[in-house]
Amino acid sequence: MIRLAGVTKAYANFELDVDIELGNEITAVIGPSGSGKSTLLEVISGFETPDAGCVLLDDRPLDGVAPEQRNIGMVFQRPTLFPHLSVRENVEYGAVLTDGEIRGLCELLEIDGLMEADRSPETLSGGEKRRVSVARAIVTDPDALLLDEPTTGLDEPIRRRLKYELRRILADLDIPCIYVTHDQNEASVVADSVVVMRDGAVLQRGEYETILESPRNEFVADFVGIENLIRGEICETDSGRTVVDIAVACVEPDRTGIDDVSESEVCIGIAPESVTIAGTTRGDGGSRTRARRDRYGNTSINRIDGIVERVIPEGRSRTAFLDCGLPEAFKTVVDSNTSIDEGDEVTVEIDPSDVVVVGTHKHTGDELSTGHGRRPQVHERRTRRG
Amino acid sequence: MTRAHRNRRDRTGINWVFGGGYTVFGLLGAVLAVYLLYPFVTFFAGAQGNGIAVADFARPEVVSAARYSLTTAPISTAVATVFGVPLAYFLSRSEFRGKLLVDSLVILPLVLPPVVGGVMLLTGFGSFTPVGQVANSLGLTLTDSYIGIVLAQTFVASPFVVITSRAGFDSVAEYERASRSLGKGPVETFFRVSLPLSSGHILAGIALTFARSIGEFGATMMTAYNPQTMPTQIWVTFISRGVYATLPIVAVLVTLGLAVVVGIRYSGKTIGVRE
Repeated sequence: MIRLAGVTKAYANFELDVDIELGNEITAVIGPSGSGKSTLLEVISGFETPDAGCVLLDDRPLDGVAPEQRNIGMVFQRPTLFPHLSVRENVEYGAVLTDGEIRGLCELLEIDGLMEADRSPETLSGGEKRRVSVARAIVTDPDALLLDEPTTGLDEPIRRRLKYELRRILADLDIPCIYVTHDQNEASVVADSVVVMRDGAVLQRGEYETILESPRNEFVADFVGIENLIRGEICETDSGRTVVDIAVACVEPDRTGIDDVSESEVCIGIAPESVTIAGTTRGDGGSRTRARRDRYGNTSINRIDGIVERVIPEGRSRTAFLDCGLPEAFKTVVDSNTSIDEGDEVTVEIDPSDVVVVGTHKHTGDELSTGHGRRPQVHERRTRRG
Repeated sequence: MTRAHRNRRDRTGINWVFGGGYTVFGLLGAVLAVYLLYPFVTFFAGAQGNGIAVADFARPEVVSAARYSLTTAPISTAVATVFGVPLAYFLSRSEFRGKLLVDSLVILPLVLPPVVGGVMLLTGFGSFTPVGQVANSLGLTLTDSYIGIVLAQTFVASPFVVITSRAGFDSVAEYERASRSLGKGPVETFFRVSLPLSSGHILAGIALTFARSIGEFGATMMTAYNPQTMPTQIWVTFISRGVYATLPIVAVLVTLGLAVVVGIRYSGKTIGVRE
């Protein structure tokens, strides 16, 4: 178990400030560039000294303990295999495991064939170098393992394969493994739990599915890939149904989602895949004004009208960007057989079980345009309904 | 690319400058290359035409100068290496107040005329300075002596080993961190990782320091006109017997210089990386 108790580390334009406990599982740390992911690893590994707070490894304080005495393995972003040593010498550089155990690990990582005498690391492919660097860290029998974006720079097929293998190997170690990545998909595959960081602080932690279902704020929702983030206000219809008024329509999420937030102003996320096209009218894009007027008069729930702005093919499906009068285009995924073109007027239907309710952004408040310019129309409709 | 597009590019001259082997760059570079080579050709051709023979290599003053240069330069290089490599490592790995000053001091002898270095050395180690007097009392003469030559060569040439070694240490910092994360302490890491991986840079620095030491003239003239090293002997011969009479010593220095340059190019390709 690793505990960072009130750890702070300040730089000229950035400060790490974390208080977190990481158990014997694989924890993915995700966040944008400059969020403090790598600094977190630096502090844990001892290459950076915190300004305040303490790092504990299995309740052992690591204050003043040099990196080489911490027994924390590290896999760097670049493989950093020693070029003047052979592959075997690299793997055995800090090894404390027995020859048999090393052989077993190398077989597991499929690098046993690279251990022949005098094979130079320079002759290895990118994927092989990563595997060797992982093996080199694990054979030191560490009490914790830190991996700093170990798949960065690899070709997609190799990267895809390596993440599954890393999952398999790291899960067997039964030590805290901290896996820094900027790829949320990789985080979901490799890790048991996820920590989302931004500006040196932990925004949310938990299982990936939990974060997907109830992201703490808009930034987290956006970062884990929830699209169609729209701000709105919780209100009740005269029939007693609790809905989120998003100015151009009303969305009724599952009760659980609504109950989880305390504010009346919320943000909802609607997965493009969960939206279906309920109706299409051919158009040339010139009737936006009429479309918007009709939309504001529309009191149906979980349906939004819009005009198709553009359609982009993505593999076997297509993503349609709709102008629904929202601050940003509303995205929906349609299959390649659906007849839909730019300028078409469409009505989309939202599956309430796929609507994610997010608390209003507390961090900076400027990630999404609020669309306040439409508020008078919302009030007007509410009055009419009431 | 359409033919019209190609023609349009040709008309602007862009293709001629940037395509087809960078013709303009090659021509401009050739001017400098010819300029660098031309004096060597004229010198050696002229010396041959003036009847300077191989036998002149055996003249006593040539042998004496070669002996002094070839015995002092290795010592100066060794002194610069023993103290310069640790300084390079220290500068590469540490942050401290006044680091910029130390950095600048290391580079200063490179940008100052060597004769200025000689002036500084005379004021620091001359016979009438406190250090010079202490040395005298111990039976050592710091100027116009073997030691004086070493002092001058070390002052002028040591920046080469410091700067190149530091560049080497800077480039292996990541490997050093990897080593420490694998449980190896700073000393073991230095000898097993930092030093071997920086060896190419360090050897290049040593070679450059040696070449600069053996060719040192300005500071040496000020601190140790006698005994005469090869560069000093070239000056003396030039004044008394003309430019072509310097051939034997010039030939030795040019050969040594070429050996150093080729050695650095070769070591840069082979040292530090396992093939």
